[in-house]
Amino acid sequence: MIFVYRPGDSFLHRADSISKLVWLITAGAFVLVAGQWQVSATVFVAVLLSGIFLGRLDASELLRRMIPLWIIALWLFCLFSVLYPEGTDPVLKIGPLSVTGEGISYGLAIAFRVLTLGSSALIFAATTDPRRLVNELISVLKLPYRLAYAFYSALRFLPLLHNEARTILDARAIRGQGYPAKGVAERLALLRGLTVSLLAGAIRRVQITAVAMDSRGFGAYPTRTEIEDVHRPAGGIVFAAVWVVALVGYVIVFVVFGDHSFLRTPVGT
Amino acid sequence: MNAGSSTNRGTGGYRYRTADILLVGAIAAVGGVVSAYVIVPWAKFIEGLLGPFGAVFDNPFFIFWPIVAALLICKPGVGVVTSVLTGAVEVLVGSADGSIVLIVTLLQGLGVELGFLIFRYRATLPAAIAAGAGAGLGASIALLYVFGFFQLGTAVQIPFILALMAGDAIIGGLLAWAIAQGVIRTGVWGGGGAYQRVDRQS
Amino acid sequence: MKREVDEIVRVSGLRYWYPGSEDPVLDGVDLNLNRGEMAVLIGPSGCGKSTLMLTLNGIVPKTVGGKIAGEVIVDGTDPLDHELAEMATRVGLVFQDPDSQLATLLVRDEVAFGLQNLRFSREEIEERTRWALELVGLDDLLMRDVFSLSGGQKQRLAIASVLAMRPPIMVLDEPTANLDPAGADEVLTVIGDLRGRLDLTVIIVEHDITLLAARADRLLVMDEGKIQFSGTPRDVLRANGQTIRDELGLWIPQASEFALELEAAGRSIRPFPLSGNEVPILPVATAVSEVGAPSDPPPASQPQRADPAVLSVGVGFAYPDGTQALSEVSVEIDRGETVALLGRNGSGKSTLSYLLAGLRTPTTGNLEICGLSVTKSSARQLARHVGYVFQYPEHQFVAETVWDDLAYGPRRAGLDEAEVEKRVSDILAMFSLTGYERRHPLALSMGQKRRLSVAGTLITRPDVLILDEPTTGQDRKNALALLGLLGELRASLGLTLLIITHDMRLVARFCERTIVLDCGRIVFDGGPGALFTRIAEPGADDMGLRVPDQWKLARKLRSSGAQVRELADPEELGRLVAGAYR
Repeated sequence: MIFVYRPGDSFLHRADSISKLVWLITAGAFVLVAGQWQVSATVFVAVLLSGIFLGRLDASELLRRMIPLWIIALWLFCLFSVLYPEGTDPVLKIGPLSVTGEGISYGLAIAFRVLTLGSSALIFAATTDPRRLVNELISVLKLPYRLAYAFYSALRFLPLLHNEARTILDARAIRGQGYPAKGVAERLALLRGLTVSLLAGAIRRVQITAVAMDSRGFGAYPTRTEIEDVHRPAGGIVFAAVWVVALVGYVIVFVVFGDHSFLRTPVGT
Repeated sequence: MNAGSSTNRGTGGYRYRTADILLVGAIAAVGGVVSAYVIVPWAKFIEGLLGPFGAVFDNPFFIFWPIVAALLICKPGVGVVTSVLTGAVEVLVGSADGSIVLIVTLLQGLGVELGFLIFRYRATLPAAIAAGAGAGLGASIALLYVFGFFQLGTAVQIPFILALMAGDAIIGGLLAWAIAQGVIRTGVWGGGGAYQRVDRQS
Repeated sequence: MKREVDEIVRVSGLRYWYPGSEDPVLDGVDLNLNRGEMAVLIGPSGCGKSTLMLTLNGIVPKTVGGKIAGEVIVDGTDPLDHELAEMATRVGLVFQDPDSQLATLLVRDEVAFGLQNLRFSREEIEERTRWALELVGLDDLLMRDVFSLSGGQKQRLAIASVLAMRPPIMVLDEPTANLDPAGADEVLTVIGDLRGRLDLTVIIVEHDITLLAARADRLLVMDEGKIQFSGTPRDVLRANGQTIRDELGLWIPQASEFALELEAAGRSIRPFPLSGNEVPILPVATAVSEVGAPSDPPPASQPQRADPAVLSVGVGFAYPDGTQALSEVSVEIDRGETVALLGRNGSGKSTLSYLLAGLRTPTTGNLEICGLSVTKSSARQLARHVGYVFQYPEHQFVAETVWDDLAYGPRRAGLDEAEVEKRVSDILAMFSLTGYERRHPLALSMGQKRRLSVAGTLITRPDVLILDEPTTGQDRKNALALLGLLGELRASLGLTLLIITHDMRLVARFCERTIVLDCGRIVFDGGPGALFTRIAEPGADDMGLRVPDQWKLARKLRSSGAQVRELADPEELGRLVAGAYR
């Protein structure tokens, strides 16, 4: 299956997707406003633990999927350690470059930020059934079902897409395109051809689907009957609430107590 | 029935037809998968070499999906919805960049909307380029913020924003335009519109 | 003015123009249908059949635009005066493409789709869902993922989803075109059941009425935007069969073709037959064998060269996840042979064809194509010898204009531009595509796309050509024209042809050898005649195949002493028998 979602029976699997979405956003906001690396690191660890214990995800697979993140995080850490402009406390000198204490702090903060943003979404995706996500967007968030169908359409399309792309690549290969392509120009031509073919195919299908849907009353009324019960276990809601409270608490505490380190990250300074 | 013709309000204008909604989803699916499997490896490679500035060379390939969608369906909201959905698809398919993608696609989608808004949602080349510039603006701000590059001072920020805007506008906008034209020339996509009842003269 | 209760569809003087179009696609359609009837609508591609069906619930013109004139009354209502949603409870539409017409991810959701939109109560939805699924035989698949269903199951699901709203009329637009014979049977059986259990009026649009002729109450033949003939299938075919087949280029039952030849000679079969079973054993003299010339048999295989077209020894193929798609495939195909590759969907035909095209490598065994080992040769080397025509032409176009698409192969092979130009012009003329050089391939009609895909593959003069379902879904005229072209090229280029198909008429007419696959193994390898004989044996496993009526007819004639070719087509049979009555 093309989705990273694997059915399961963990706490996170059972939690409703809207609560998880709240959690995702909160965790993200947390590391985006946190100035101190210790805070980002704590959030990251909390996210990882949630995934492994509350989501019963395989730790090694999770960490493996995060490899691109580890690399970026490391890269950013090194970059800021050395290039952080307001560094006044050199810790190490490597030739003309100096590693500053502030740089290291900042680098760590950003590294953990990136790690959190990536891993939280991975955990979300691994424990959330896309179909359930759409249904809950409609029933809980009251998203108009016609619009939510754009998402549904994407989900429906993905498996077909995979096969279609494979066939198109095969068909072109047999005609001579796609063999070790000579350089950028040919590769671009192939990509362009593939894209136009896939899009044209998508358009053809979509028009048929639209007629079949309209013929069955799609959009007749602004809402439609729901036939699936929405399960919102209290645990999931509490989980999300805890995170929100933590975030709000952090913001208040640090505003009140004057550590404006979090103000350093956005535009302007 | 009366003789003569009468026009009924069809489904043109700004209302989304079912086909429009589905197409946004389909483009997001195509975009999400092609992005995740084809473009991201390229992006990693180029950014590995050039650092964040490498984004100038890979971002255009991410942003042209919402522009293509908006060129085909010239209605408000298409740009941002397609962009966010593309990001959502990438996440569900297991992209390691996770929420970063969501933030970037949201802001760049808003940028695409801005571009088309300026040109009043007409499917023209200038609109596509403006949308690309808008996307570049949104994406660069998002990236600068998320990766903490705002710390590196305006000497870094301004060129980055401008480079990304230029890259996205030129490569992204033009590419989207070329692909949309390619699709339009196949004749498979037809707009709806009001129908006319032309009764026979008795 | 009370309309008759019995008349459920009435169309008068319907004309319709697509937006921006000068010529109307519907040009004065008159049509009446009574409650409970099953009508079959046939017509050449582009005659407006599908458009006509879409006017019944108002999709045309409401979502498409354009201009409309005339009257359409469906179940007492005018679709233009009512919302699409309301028409959903009066007319249900089922379309050709099983994947594209489904809107959801679960079987249950699909059936409930319309009911949810119309805001039926949850209890009502649950009850109707169960009812509809039971009617089509899918009641044990309630929570299945839609993509895990077979083609036949998907179409049955589409029918259920439409039935759930209990419309009195059901319209099916080429419902079996994308299915294999087993799937087609499933769908037609369900439709038959439904008519028995419900008071349902059914309209089926088809390009080939062979399977439906005997079951339908009405046959409607459409051409140039009008209904040209209407009546019972027997009446219409008897009176107009020749026109329908030859001028409109449509498929008619082979038994009817046979009977028409006899009619021309003054010998009638009554009742006019619609299938082989309805043709009685005729008292025919043995002298019939002298009359008439047999149709061209496929050319004999060329003398053995050092390297056969295909040499496969113990070839097997397994997917990365372990599923064994092919096992122990050992076969030798000589140059110049025309082989049909048959079998159910999922039997391994496509996989084998991919291996033969060099698109995949076998996981076990040895495979050589034109003397080149697939494991030791590069894909590029193999591609010089093999061409592959895919089932959906759209997939294989590589350029933005017809000219460039055709020129792609020769240019890539390094031919100089003058030679390229010559070849392209020649092949354009041969495939009736002159004048379309600047068009985008995807903007061509279905038939043109098909021809372009074949032309583009042949222009590089491969030794072996593999075709995936080349005639499926096509009118008789186009299918036979394509076969004609292939036959000519087969002779002039010495092509070896490998054709994946379900169309047994094609097999009988064109192929000298058949290879049948089942569960990844070869279960039959021999001539078409031998294959049909084997399948026709009572109690035999038909391997997912059907015997064409022409063969049954020939066998009947032979059993009464006539010396006719086993694989003679119905016209030939008819002429021979008619000749005996002079």
